Amino acid sequence: MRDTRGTRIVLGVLLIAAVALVVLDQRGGGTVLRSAAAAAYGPLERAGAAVLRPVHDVTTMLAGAPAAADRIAALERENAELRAQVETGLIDQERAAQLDRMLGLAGLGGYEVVAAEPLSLRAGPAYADVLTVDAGSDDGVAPEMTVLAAEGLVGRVTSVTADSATVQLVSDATFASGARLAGSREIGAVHGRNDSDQLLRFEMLDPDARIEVGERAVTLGSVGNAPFVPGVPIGTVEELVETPGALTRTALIRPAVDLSRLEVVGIVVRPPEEDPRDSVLPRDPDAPDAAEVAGTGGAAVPVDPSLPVDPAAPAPSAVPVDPSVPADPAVPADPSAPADPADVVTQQQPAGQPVQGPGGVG
Amino acid sequence: MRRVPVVFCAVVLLLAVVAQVAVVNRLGLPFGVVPDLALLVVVALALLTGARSGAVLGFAAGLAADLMPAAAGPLGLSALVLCLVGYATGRVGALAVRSPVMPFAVTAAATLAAGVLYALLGALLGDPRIGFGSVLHVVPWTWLCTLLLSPFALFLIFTGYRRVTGGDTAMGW
Repeated sequence: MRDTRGTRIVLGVLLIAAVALVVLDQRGGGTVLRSAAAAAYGPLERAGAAVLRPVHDVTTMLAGAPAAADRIAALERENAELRAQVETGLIDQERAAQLDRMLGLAGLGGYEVVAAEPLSLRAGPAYADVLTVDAGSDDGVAPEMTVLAAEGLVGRVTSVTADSATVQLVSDATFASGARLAGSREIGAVHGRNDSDQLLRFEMLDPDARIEVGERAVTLGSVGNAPFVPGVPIGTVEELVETPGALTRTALIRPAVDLSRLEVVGIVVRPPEEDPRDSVLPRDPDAPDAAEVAGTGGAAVPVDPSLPVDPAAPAPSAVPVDPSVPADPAVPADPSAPADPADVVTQQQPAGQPVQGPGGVG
Repeated sequence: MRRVPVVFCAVVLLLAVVAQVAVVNRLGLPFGVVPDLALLVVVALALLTGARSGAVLGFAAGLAADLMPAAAGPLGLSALVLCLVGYATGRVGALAVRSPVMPFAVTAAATLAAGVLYALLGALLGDPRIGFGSVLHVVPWTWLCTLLLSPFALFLIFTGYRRVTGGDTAMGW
């Protein structure tokens, strides 16, 4: 075994250098090195993304093969429906609606977003939940900007290069954001947990806060709208944690966004003019629940506004072409006849909002 | 003293880093972990070339891993860990490289040691991401992932090394 004096000296020098780097980084000196490296790695990631996209498509295709038969049947049905829509000349409206949905919450909340695609999903030791995306300072992205997907909050930008940015995901253990329960005034902080179940921890400032499973949380918004703009959906309360004697109440939240399947994200480059409050949240799937939540706010009146929703409820079944459209309050697009049902949909929307609005305030 | 094929080592290391950034990190594997190519290359080359170059290669590979855009650990920690792993692997290298099975055992041990050491040092440095739960999740899966790749990686690197240096590994490959 040759372990000469020289070898030990080399090892010692390298170890000291590594420790020096660690210390330097702990004191905030690693930024220069990191940004230089990011500039070098960026093209590599980009090339990999370009080369791998077809491979990725193939693997997803193979993985989805068992479900493909069902999907083909569903697609054939959908195809027929779409054909019918083309004939009625409404295909453009539908496409506009889909684009709107793809850009997600942007239009709803008045956020101005830059769309970006994830470049790499994980790196090195997977303790950090971080991803890089293909938009950078050239696109107007800067650190401490909110990142969202169609369903809600993804994370925040931590650093940028000219053409890429690093995003800290909500599930990262060092992530923290102010949050508010939709409809109520309970505020608190959401933390990532870095756990395999991907849940987030929500700590409410008020220990006596009434909170129920199924309630939804949105971002509270930061001072100066950085790093978080207000009103972005974070997730749904899935479990309440009993912490006797603690100063805060804790709940576990299921993120609104499936963080393992991010295809397109939006980076909010300009915050909304005013707080969108709860308007960005999708309509609650079961309306009675929403009425109930509103009812716990104390007022008996908000239950009544929920009734007009019921006459509107048959509207989806009356429109056989695309049942998903009325579920999205942002898309008043009307799939079938031009004039009449359009009125139904637009009437339905203001009726839906007071259910959450006054109930929460009261 | 055996001459270390510097260019070969550098090229292999560079390829590993490129593959890690451009391919592996993009795969989106289940359980949120990825195989550690840099570690595999360091172990294989340290087995072949000895402790000194193992330490140097480990430091270089670790630094490259620390600087990857989506890496958020303390800068220099992977360099420290891989430097130690490269050195230790190089120490047993001359023994292991003669046997057909030993390189895999050494790789398994080194990969596990690197994972545990990184988690320990990271926790000592107060990285809030490293907790009992996350370590129990990340270390075993990364270990398994990397081990699955090790036959291919070792085969490629050992064959390449034999071509470059004129046959010295005596592994029967």
